[in-house]
Amino acid sequence: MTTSTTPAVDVTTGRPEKTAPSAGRRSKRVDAITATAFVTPALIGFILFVIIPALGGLALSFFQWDLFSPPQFVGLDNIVRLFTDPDMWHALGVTALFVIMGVIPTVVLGFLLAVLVNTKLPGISVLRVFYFAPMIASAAVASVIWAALYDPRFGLVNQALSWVGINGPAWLSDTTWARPALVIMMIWGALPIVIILYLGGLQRVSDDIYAAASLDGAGAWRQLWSMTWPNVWPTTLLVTVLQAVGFVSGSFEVSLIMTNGGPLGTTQSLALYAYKVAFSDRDIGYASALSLFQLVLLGAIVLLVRLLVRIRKAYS
Amino acid sequence: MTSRTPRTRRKWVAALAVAAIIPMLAACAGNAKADGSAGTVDGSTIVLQTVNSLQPQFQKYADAYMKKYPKRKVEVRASTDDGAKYAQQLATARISGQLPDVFFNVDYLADTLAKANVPLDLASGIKDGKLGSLRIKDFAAPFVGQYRPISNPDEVTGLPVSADSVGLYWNKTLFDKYGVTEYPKADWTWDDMLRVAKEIQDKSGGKVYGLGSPLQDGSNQLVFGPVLRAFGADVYNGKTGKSDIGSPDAIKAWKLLISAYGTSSNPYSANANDPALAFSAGNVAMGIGSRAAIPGTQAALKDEWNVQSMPTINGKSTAGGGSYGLSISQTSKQQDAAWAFLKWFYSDAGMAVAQKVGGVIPPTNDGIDNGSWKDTGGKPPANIAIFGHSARTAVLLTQMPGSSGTVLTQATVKATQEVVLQHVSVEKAFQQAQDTVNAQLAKDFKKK
Repeated sequence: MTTSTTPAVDVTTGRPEKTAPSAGRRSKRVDAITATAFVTPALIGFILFVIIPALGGLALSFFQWDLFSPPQFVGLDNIVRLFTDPDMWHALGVTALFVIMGVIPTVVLGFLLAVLVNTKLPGISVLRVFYFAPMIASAAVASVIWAALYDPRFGLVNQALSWVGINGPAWLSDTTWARPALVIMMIWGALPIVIILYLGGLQRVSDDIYAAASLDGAGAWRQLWSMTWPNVWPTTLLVTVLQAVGFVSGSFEVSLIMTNGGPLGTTQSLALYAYKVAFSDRDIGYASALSLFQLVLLGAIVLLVRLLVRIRKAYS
Repeated sequence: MTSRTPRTRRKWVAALAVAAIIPMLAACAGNAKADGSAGTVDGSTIVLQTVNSLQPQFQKYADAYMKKYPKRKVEVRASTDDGAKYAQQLATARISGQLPDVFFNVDYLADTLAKANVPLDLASGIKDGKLGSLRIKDFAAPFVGQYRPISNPDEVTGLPVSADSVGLYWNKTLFDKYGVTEYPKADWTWDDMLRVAKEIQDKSGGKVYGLGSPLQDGSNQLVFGPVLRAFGADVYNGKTGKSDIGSPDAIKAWKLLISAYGTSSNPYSANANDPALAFSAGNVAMGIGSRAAIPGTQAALKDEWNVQSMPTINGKSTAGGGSYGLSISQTSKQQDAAWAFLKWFYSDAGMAVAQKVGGVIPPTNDGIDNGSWKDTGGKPPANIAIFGHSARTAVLLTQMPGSSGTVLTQATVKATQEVVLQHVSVEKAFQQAQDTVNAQLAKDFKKK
């Protein structure tokens, strides 16, 4: 193998050919310009609507400001207050519960539904339409609809429970049931994107391994748990991270609309608490510190997952 | 070498942070005008800001004004009905220099907005005749008093649009359907109301609620304020600067109010705005509501219904009251045009439109007594005149400094939930609520 790395030579001059490398450079330049042209609008939007407000939020966390009076610089007071504020710890606990109660069922259900949707059963195309339905309703609209479904007297949920002799609770006004009620709704809302991601993952699994497994006598469940599930591991990881972030931030609008954080703060997530501090208590500086804290937490979750992936790779 | 050093990067980050914050902070300095004369009137366009629920009638006011004065334009803008969000939007508009010329103000936000230098002081302009011959003394004093800043009661930062008070709405169709013949009377006490409400609820087998829960989710100050007052307690005492919502007298009031849940009214609901619990939904036999709910109820409820004066406690009225108003922004560049609009709106011609399209009770002494608002054109409620009387006797919403009003709402909701959902004693829950509110009041007074 001596010729493969030899540069092309101009046979008339004996010098290396200039045309090919020059074209390559030009092509790279065109690629770079094209990429920049495509990325720039999004980047401008990202800087204007994410980076600058985030930096503004960071700066505001060093001030005390009620939106009306001039802001007063308070140094790290708002950051220190975070750790001594019992309401913050309560909201953090509620957020953690949302994640714990929501992510695992979402991942498992999403996976199972994706497997079901991926099969060639009769009538499955109808199901494929239905699994997409939650995506077309905004969280605000879905929250209003679900609040009606949970109505203790007229709601469909308690009507259905009464058919099997169960006297349903006042879902959204009950300190025991309000949080699970919201989590169920959030799982419903999260499933479409999870199913779509898993469908992508499932399509990368080769049919050959199933054929081989069938020859070896593996049944459907054995194939599901021993072959499909391990093979969609990268998707599971992605889905878990996305849903953890989704349940931290997505719980905001649902709890704001359906329970306003109640009853007795059982559904008051960190994001909702920050919102109330900002716009009910008009303490913008501390609300900014709370939002910053949430951002750090989300960053920590992502880093933790990346760390776990590296450890897993190292061991495998 | 295209990569930047960490130091350069830090400089960029710092510069971006400063760039983000400086415009916001700089704008807070404001450009308030002290006098109320700016801009021309004919050929002007003013922005009239209101809330979503009032947008249709405000548009009609604007249309009537523009019809009368074709050379003047009024652009109506509407935003959220949520008071806290509305105040936030005004604050944001002020920061960006985009305050409307005339805007919807409301009693419980009036002091906050005044403190933030959003509305213009109208007192001197009215004295100088900018509203013609109309003077502040012509307005019903308690209602205009809601727009006097706590720290400077000589100023008036808004003028009430309607002298609103609450009354007892009742659905005769439901009373008759369940064989309850004791209709609400003017001399009813709260015990009468709760007793009859329970009777209807029991007779309907729970299909109908006798009364929409008076406390709602625990935040309904329009109802609990007057009830506390009737028992001898105050939500907020301006003289002492304290709240006594946990006092023994207040505890009697809370016990009465909380006793309604599930027996005379719907069970506790954390959703204060649950449409299924609204009187206009047609499955609530009685509801305590503001006069302002009449147009909506007329449109939604097909049953036969009427209104009655609020029941009394210890012989005292329990009618709460309040108002929304109109203010001119300090930073308006069209202040003369804004004054001209207010002059028309509070004239006989403007008030006639307001009564016709918005059903408002004019906030002037003459308007309450002699206004055309009592004429409902044959539609219910036949007994609408009760709102004229209760406007005179209503216990108005109390203005509280700083964030104390918000803290009060949160504290009473929390205390109500503790009692109803966790069976904490009324005494313990509301004593704690009182401590929370008084701590916030102390903080707000310290800030002043």
